[in-house]
This record gives sequence, C-alpha cells and structure tokens, in this order.
Amino acid sequence: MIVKIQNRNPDFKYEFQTSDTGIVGIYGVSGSGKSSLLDAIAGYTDSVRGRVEFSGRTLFDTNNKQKVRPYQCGYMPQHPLLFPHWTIRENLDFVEKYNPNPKIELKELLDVLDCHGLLDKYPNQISGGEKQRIALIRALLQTGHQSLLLLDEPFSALSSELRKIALNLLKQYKENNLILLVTHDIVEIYKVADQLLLVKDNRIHYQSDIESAFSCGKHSLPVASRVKINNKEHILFADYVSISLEKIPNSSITHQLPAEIKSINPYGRDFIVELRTLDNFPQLIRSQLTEKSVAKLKLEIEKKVLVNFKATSYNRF
Amino acid sequence: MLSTDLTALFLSFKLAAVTVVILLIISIPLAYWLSFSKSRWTVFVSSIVVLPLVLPPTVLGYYLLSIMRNDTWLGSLFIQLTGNQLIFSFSGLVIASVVYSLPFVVQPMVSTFKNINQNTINTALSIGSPKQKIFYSIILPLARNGIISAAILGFVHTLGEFGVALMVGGNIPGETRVVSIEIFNHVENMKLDQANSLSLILLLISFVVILWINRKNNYRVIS
Repeated sequence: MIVKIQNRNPDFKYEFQTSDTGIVGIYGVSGSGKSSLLDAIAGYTDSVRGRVEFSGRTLFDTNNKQKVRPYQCGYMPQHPLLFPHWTIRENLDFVEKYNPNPKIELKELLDVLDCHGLLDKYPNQISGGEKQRIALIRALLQTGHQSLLLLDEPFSALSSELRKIALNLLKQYKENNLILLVTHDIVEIYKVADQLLLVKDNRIHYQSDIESAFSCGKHSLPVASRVKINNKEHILFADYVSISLEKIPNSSITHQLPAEIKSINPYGRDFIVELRTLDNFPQLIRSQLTEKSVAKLKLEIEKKVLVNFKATSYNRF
Repeated sequence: MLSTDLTALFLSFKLAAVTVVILLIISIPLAYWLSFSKSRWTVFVSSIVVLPLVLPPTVLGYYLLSIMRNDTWLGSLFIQLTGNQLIFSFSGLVIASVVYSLPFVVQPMVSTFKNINQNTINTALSIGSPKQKIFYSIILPLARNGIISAAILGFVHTLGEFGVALMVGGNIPGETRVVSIEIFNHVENMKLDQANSLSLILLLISFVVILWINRKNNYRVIS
C-alpha cells in the first residue's frame, strides 16, 4: 500500500508504504491524528489531496483527477454507524448483498462473537459493546481476498475475553488482506501486528517491523520479548524481568533460567540487557535494569547469569 | 353551512392535495440537491425558493399573473395544449399554489436531509452500495418523518392561501373560489356567522396539524 496524502493544513501530511498483506498497528497518543489518518485513507475527507494505492489499484489520486470519495472497503470508524431504521439482521444483509464472498461466513462470525441474539433488535436497542461487535462483523464481511480493512479502536468497548477472541479472529485475515489497526493498546499491537506506524502531530513519526520496534527502546515504546512457555507464546515486558548471578531460593519467582548476555544498551536512564537462554530451547529475553544494578552485578557481554520472572508477568498479556 | 361553502371547502382540499403531490415530486430532489450538493449555485437557487416567504402575496400573485397571461409563452402554450386559459382557472391556481407553498415544503426537507449524518452515506458507500440505492433505501426512509411533516405543512399552507389565489384565480365559484376567498366574501357581505364557521374549520385543521407535527418532532430525532 502506498499512502501519500496531505490536506490544506500543512500539519497534516502522511507518506508511507506498507506491504499489501498483514496487520499494521497504528499507535499514537490521543489527538495525534490516528483517526484522521484512517478517515483520509477511507476517502471520507474530501479536503485531502494526494493518492492512495493498494494492491495495484489506485483508490484515489487527486493529481490525476480521481476524486477523494469513500470506496468499497471494510472500514470500522471509532464511532461506527449502524443504519438506525434497520434491524441488525437487515444491516448485515445489506453488507452481504454487496460483498458476496467473505473470507468467513456471517453465521460463523456471529457464533464467534456471540451476536446471534442481537439479530432482530434495532441499533438503538443494543449496547455500545454490542454495536462494536456488529460493526466489526460488518467490516469483516467485506474482507475476502486482497481486501483492505481499516479498524479504528475496534475493541475499546469489548470485554477482555472478547478482545482475545477478536484479536485471534483478525490473525485469520492477515494472510491475504491488509489490516490497518488503530489502537491505544500497545500490547494489542505487539500481539497481532507485523508492522508499527507511530503517529505524532498528524505525521508518521516512526515506522518499523514489530520486533525491531519493541526491542530498540526508542520513541518511548516499551521493550518486550516473546517467550514460549509450555509451548504457548507469551509477551514478557523487559521491566518485569530481573537478573541474578545465583539461584534465588525461597522466592515467589517461578522461572529462573540460565542465560548469556548478548548486548547491553542504554534505555533512557536505564539499560536494556538482551539475553539468550541456555536451556534446551534457547530464546531471546530482554530485561530492563537500572544503571546501578548493571554496575552492581558487573554485567558484560557473554557473562552467564540467571533470568528471573514470575508467572504473573506474562500471564496478564 | 351553505352549499357554496361546501364547494369552496372541497375546492380548497382538492387544490391542496394536487399541490402537495406536485410539491413532493419537485421538492424531494430539489431539497436533496440543496442539502448535499457542493455547487455554488445552491445559494442562488435556495434564495429563489425562499422568495415567496418574504414577498407580499399580492406581489407574487402579480408576477405569476404576468407570466401566465394568455399573451405570454406559458399562457399561450397552455391554451394550445388544453384549449383553456391558464389565468382564472384551477390549473393556474395549482401552479400559483406550488410556487407559493414551495418554501414551506423545501425548507423543512432541507433541514431533515442536513440532519442525516454524512457518515451514514459514507458508510453505505464503503459497503459498496450504489448512490441511487443509498437514496432510496437509506436517505428517504431516514427522512420519512421530515418529508411527511413538510408535505402536511404545504397542504395546510395551501388551504389558507388568499392573496395569490385571488390575484391568479379570481373569484369563480366552483373553479377558483377557495375557502379563504369565500370567507372574505362572507365578511364583505356582513355574513359573519358563515365567515365564523368556515374560519373555525380552518383554525381547527391548522391547529391539529401543527400539534401533530410538533409531537412527532419531539419524539423523533433523526441521527
């Protein structure tokens, strides 16, 4: 996807390129311009100038007199709008009529997101979270093969259980489609995204693949690593991981793994220590330590140490 | 109530009904264009539509009379097509009523259309619906109450029309003598009881309609 847009306000200028498949997480503080970016890409903002290309198609190009107007794509704005004069069933029928080949059928989506009971209700009879689920189903129904899916805070009103389900659902779509996912939850991005776009003052401040973004310790992004525990992948943030030179007996620590230091890099006032575990399944773990701790433990590259963390530090994500 | 009163009442209702049907056909696309078009002509057209609101009915009636006279292109075309003259006829009265009541129908429709969230239309476009389909299946149903209110306003306004009706239609019983002119005749002839009954009927109809529209608007908020 190629995005090269700006509007009359010189502060609004986006230029970036992503692959045509996968999930791109868009992150930024409130008011940084994330929602405006999705609105502009979806063709909702007619004051925008420039071009957007996706999968070999030009979605709009004002330089070649292709006007900015909404085009067919799965767009779920922050405040999604369901047609108020139709029941939920009629709302979804309308989408199916114009999008006959969804990747996952309506019935299955209704099952997964537990929405069967809402079908005969009107939008003003259901809650905000329920509306969000229906809007997500509507966007997903428009996603078949080589489709563009724009999601703006799609899970903000969902319970943590439904969030997990919805995130897993998204992963099923990323192979053949491009998903631009705006969220204020950085963990969600680390969980599902392949790329990160950091938005600041209506511009792309930083763009990176997801692993580099969460290992560099730049742009106030947290540092984390993916660890496999009992054959299940977990996210472990560096500030939850400690280092010791010897085994710590009688403690609440549940995981003490032998490891070798691969690198030590400054991270603000602290340091990020990258370690490779020395057990049967070597994996990379990052730990955030104060300068004082690094000095006290006399840490240096290739030094053998123990990596310590509690079960609660990865179970929560 | 005299038979001439009943004839006048029937004629007024017939005039109002025909006028409203024509007004709906003209006003819905016109109000839609005024609401959603970005053309700079909208301001100009909107000002023309509103003109009958501020012009004295006699002035409007005078101009309409000038346009519809037998020696004008409109008047002579009408004679060629129907064999009848346009002025002092029911057809002439219908044209005059349409012009006179146009702002009362178009204005509420414009505000109804403008109340429809632009993102409703954007969402339908993103889903892939063609523009025409959006108009019939989304915009019209959402604007239904506003359109009905506008039509009723136009109907009631036409019922009470006097100045323009007198200028363009004259005072021909059964052809152009509508209820407001009949009331005027009764007052002029000092038949105050008959003027009173007819006036009361118009007053009651108008009040009930306004009450109904207000109740409807209070309970319905188009988002």
